[in-house]
Amino acid sequence: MMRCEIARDRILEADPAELSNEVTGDLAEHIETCSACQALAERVLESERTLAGAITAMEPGLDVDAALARVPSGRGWGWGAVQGWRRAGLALPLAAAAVAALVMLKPSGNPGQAVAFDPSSPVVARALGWDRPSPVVRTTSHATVAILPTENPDITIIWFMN
Amino acid sequence: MSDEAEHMDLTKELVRNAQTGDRQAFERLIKLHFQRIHRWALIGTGDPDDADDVTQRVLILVHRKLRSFRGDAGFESWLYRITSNAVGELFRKRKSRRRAMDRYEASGVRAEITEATERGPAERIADDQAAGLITTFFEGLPTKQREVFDLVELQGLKAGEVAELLGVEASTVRVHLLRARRTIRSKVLEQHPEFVEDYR
Repeated sequence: MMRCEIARDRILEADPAELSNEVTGDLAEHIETCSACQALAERVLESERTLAGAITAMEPGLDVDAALARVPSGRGWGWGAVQGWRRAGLALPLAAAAVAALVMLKPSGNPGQAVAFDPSSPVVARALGWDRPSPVVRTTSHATVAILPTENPDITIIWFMN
Repeated sequence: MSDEAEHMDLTKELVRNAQTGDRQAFERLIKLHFQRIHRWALIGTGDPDDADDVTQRVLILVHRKLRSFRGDAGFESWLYRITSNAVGELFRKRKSRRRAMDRYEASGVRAEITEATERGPAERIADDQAAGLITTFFEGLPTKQREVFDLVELQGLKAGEVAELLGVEASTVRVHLLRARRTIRSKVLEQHPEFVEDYR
């Protein structure tokens, strides 16, 4: 008869059918006659059922219609075009121009006042080449700062909002 | 005709129509595969919020790239590759943002971190529990092994089907599966030392 040490090692890679005695074989035979290995096999199967249940139960947090509403209509504009510019090496100058334009839209030249910039705005995101911004916003008594990743893993924009 | 065959035929028809610019066909196509995309994203990221982000990104990428889909491989394989790449892209961005945050921390500014979320508190708690379980089992497991384990062990696909989906050999699928089983089940053993005690 198979030794428990060997059975335990085999249980780590065995097909669930072997663990539940749905198929015959030396491991299944050992499990059937050894209560300790049987308990281990049952524990393994139970854990996998729990994991399967957890994954299945986790519904998407976003509604499919809402997600589709964020997909641009039409073709040739939006992301495809942005990618084209990126390939042409124009993405960074474009982003810089967009940032400059936003700064110029401020009502006064004072950098401490009324910066009309919302990093979660899809308009701003599109202008800068992000399809979905995921800013981290940090606030202190002196300043609010948005940290935004870009398509380029080496470039992150840190925006001081006031 | 089997459900699977009907599903494939419908997918093909919707892909053809969506490629001509039919928005309704595109939306039906996405709805048909939405849960699957989200599950792949969840397995790849191990985090429900990240899975949502990746799913959203995949929808945009599918819309942008659908015209270039030639149908040489199945639509699901193509979709899987897009999702897998989107997961990789998320992790690269995450590293980049973490580096920026570290530099910002080093500058001495102290503050709260606030991040937008679309879930309510109750759903968050339930999701957190499920996410905790997934993290416990999948932590340290390479993405390919997670995916194979999910597809074969938890969803019941055959090794050959998974091989086709992932674009690898069936023997590679089996190797990933055995390694994933060993890692995950070893964790079960670690959490339940009483089983180990029985052998001493």
